[in-house]
Amino acid sequence: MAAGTALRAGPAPSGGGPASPSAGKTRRRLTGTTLAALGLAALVLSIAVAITIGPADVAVGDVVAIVGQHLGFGHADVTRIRDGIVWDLRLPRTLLAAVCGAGLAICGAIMQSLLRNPLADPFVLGISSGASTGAVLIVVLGVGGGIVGLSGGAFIGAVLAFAVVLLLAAGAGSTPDRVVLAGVAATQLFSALTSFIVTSSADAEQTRGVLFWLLGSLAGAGWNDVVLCGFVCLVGLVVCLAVAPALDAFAFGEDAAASLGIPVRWIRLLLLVVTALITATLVSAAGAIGFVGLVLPHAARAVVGPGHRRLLPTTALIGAIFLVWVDTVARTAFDPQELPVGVVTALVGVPAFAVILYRRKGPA
Amino acid sequence: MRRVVHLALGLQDRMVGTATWTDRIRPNLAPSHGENRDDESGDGPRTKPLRLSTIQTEVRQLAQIFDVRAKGEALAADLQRRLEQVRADNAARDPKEISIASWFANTESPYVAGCCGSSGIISRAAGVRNVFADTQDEFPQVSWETMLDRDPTVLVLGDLQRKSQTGDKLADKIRFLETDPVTKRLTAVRKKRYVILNGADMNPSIRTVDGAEKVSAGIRRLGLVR
Repeated sequence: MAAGTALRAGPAPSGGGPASPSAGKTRRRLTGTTLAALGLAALVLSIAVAITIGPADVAVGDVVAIVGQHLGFGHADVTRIRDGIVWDLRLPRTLLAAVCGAGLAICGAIMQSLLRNPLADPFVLGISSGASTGAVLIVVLGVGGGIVGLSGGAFIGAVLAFAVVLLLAAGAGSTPDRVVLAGVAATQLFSALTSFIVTSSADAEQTRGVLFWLLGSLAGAGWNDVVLCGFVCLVGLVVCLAVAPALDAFAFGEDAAASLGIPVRWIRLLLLVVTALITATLVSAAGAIGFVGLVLPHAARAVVGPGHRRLLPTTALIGAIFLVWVDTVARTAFDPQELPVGVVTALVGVPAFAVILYRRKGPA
Repeated sequence: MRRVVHLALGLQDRMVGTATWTDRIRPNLAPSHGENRDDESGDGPRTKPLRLSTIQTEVRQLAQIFDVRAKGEALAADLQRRLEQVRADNAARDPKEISIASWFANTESPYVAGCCGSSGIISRAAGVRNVFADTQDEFPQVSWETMLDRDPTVLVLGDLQRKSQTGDKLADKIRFLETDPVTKRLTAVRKKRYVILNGADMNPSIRTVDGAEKVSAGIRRLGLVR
């Protein structure tokens, strides 16, 4: 906790953020633009390279031709099968990985700032355990009569769990620590409910099916998922950027923020609801992909410092690039078999994070 | 458990494999176990292909336990005769002509039959090539990309009477295959070349032979064999 507060509120060596002196502002802004351009270029390049990699051997030239044809340029001389592999499997899956990575990383960054807790992540307010309860109710008990699918159940469960957290937190005074505690309570409650349902009525096969899904997998990604999640994340990012200056003020404590004329309660409620909706949407599409939302915001702070106007886009870019590559490993490493992406996020991400932590050591 | 008792009774020559659930084999029994090592796990990788003789042995063991040996022998012989019939019907053809993939369950990332379980017996007898014969797990979980890439001539679909994953029931499988923008590009889907098996046909059991008969009849019904 103390280290995290220092991370945000302490003087940032790389500059940036609204509190820094104005000297050299132009140079920094230029650096910021260059950084954003480089980041975007890296993301586009990552997606482009990722869709040329896969168990099926499709030539790079064919991949380019297929994408070009769908975008209205030229004609691809390939079979329907190859076309489907690139346009309906690899591209939507890679784009969904980018969207999930960006969305989860943004939600993590906001949760960490809002709750003033470096250990906060998008799931800290009970969303993933609520989603698992919802999913288990659908799969094991057949609630919903086939009308509400697995992802619908997960979304409803996630939103319900979040509502429970808000109610608990409101009753307890809504300070950041109370919100975190309410989240812990709701997480425990819904995990217990899930375990209860599983132990009392599921068979091993059902449990395995639900668990695989909960570990996070982008295997079922289609264009409709990309459009829905992409839209939700984009709107969420715009809203968060709009209140970014207020979010910076939160770093100095809620009293200080209030004395700067910021409507603390409303901003906090707005951000909690927005991040909860983003997370619930992503979890219902791809399961609870861990690690991204916890660790990548810290990596982004190491690059651009704590100011949210720069932190949020950077976090989004790093999250997107990271998950694109992680999912590429998950779907190709054990060809023709698949790995749950959540397993790979931790295996690839923890060593990377260790390097960041090590490089940032110093007075905390 | 039954098999551990067999080892203790010195019946290892009558066993084709062992399965232990939580522990390694008891040290004093390990030598007998080592003499005939063909570990069968329910769902993990197989080191050796399953053979009909394994199933026949289990039939005979059960018949012996319940003291109906004659019936056991008759059933084992009947399984043998029926499988031989399927093999004879399909022996003249090159197995490379017709390729299959056996889809067990799950729509997101399908579980398909690997090389060496029940599906191996079925493929060898019916003279077809399993496109996932390069995997040793009983039911490896693969990606649709690989399925599209290997584009089998025929899809063998399991009609599972359970509801624990997506695409268990036959109707769910066919609805998914024919509406999903990816899977409807498969040759077998466009030409509706399906052969339907029960879950038990796809798992090692006396119904493995039913599976072989159904696949053999199926490729004829689909007009793939003259």
